[in-house]
Amino acid sequence: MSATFRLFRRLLIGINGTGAGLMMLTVFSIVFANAFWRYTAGRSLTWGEDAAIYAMIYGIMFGVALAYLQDRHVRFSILVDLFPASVRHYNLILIDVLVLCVGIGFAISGYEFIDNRGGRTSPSTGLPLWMFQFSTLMGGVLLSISALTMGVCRLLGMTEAEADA
Amino acid sequence: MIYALLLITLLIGVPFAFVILGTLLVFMIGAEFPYHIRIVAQQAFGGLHSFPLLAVPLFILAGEVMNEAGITRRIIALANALVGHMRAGLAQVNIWASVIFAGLSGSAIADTSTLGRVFIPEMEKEGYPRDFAAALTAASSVIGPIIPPSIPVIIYALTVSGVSVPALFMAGIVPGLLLATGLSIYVWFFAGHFGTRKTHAPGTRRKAVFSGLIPLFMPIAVIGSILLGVVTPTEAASFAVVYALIVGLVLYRSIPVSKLPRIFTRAMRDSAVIMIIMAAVSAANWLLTYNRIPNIITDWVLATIDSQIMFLIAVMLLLLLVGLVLEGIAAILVLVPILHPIAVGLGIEPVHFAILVIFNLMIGLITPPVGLCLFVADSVARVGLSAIVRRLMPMLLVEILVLIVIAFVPDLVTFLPRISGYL
Repeated sequence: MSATFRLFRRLLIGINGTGAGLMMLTVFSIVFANAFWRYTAGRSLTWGEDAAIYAMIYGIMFGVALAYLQDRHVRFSILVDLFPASVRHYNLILIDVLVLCVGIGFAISGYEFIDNRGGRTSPSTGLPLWMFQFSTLMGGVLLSISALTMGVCRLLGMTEAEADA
Repeated sequence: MIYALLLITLLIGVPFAFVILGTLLVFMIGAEFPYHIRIVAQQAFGGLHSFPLLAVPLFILAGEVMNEAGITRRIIALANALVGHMRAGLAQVNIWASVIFAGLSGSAIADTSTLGRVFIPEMEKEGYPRDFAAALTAASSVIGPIIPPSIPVIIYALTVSGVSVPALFMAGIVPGLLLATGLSIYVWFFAGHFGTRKTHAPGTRRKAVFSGLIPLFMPIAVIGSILLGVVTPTEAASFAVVYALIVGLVLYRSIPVSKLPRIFTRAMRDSAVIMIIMAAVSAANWLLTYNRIPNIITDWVLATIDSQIMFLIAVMLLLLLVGLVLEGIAAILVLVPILHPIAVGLGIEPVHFAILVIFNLMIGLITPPVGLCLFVADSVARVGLSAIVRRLMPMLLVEILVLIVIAFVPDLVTFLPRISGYL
């Protein structure tokens, strides 16, 4: 059971990592190609700026879930560091539960956002905006899955050092 | 109720971005029209929808590629060639290597980690106490986010209106160099007796300078092209990535292509950690602005404090305290939208104020209990935080002294942007 969840966590790290890396590559390629074309041919892709921004937002959503799976988020830890290790362990599980709720809430918020504003069309790309707004819904879902996985792994005995590895 | 939720979740260690998002979600669910749960995702999405913001992941990527390319050895050789012959030579090399490193990575934590691995054992070998070497590495790494290109500077410029990235890049140069000079003077007087410098073979200095020019060209080209108005900061960041890739893949051949996916992933993950806070704060700022909270605070402060000096002293004390417990970029995102309009209202030059805020909060990187660079230095040196902090105290005083100097002599900050035509 424990090994299965650890494997699942590694799989999630792989999926989110691949998503984040590909989006980083997309952002870099579009910005560089657009700048290069502008300086050499004197014009740039009209959709270039927005496409790079949307790729960045998708990348952030993958990156947020990845950072959660690897315990990289910025947190206020002075008080928690004073706790004994066992209390800290259960506190981390509590945090996983709270972040799971935030993830679900953010996914619902993203869904409502798409429902309300997704029908419009992006002037630069010509594509419906829901395709880009979907990143918020996806981000919430990925964060929820990451928090749930981390919570279960911790319940099954994963230590802070293992989570950080 | 909402404030209690915010405070409790913050204190138990819920990541900062999720504290803000969670509190906002609870508020939006409980509140009536015009508030709606949709607003959280909408404003977070809107807060990230910015072309200049793309410079953040791209500069982080450039720094990652440069680090991976193995520039550290060349930077140290260059700094050694320039200042290694001075009294407390290796300590001087440590400080000035941080200045050069600042132009390439802009991250204090990367600086502490990368340079610390080399300097801490090397300085110990030359007779410096290990805790002193760790403290100096952490203290000099604060230069990283002040000298351009700097991520906190880009974030600051995007958080408020009226300050541009190039102006802030120019404004950060003198304070960064002053900080390095201050630390340099300190080690000259108080660390000279620790180490005995070995002399180097003739000819090695020239070789080191030439070898160091390749990494050094990147910040010069990036900053130069931005200042000349040839490229925007975002485009410059993409050119910096290309340059770093050429250095790593072609010139030094130190990065195997198979390593690139991991570098790209790490860059996006580290960017996401910063930018999700930015997205959350954007959503929170919408709520605050909708309720005119920043205006109310600004009016109250302006009615209470009418002197620039009083305000600057109050802000510096506040930020030093905040820096003790909160990460610098998070503090910028939360406090700057409130403090910046007050500073402008009191007639303080926005660029001067911006550099003061950034400098002040970056000192927080080396102040206990949550100084990230302290933890990184200790993870390399393994001498215990209290030993490092004891050695660090005089260096911290030097940094605070430099802060006071730039606070009350604004020309030190505004001189370069002014002669460059940004003010």
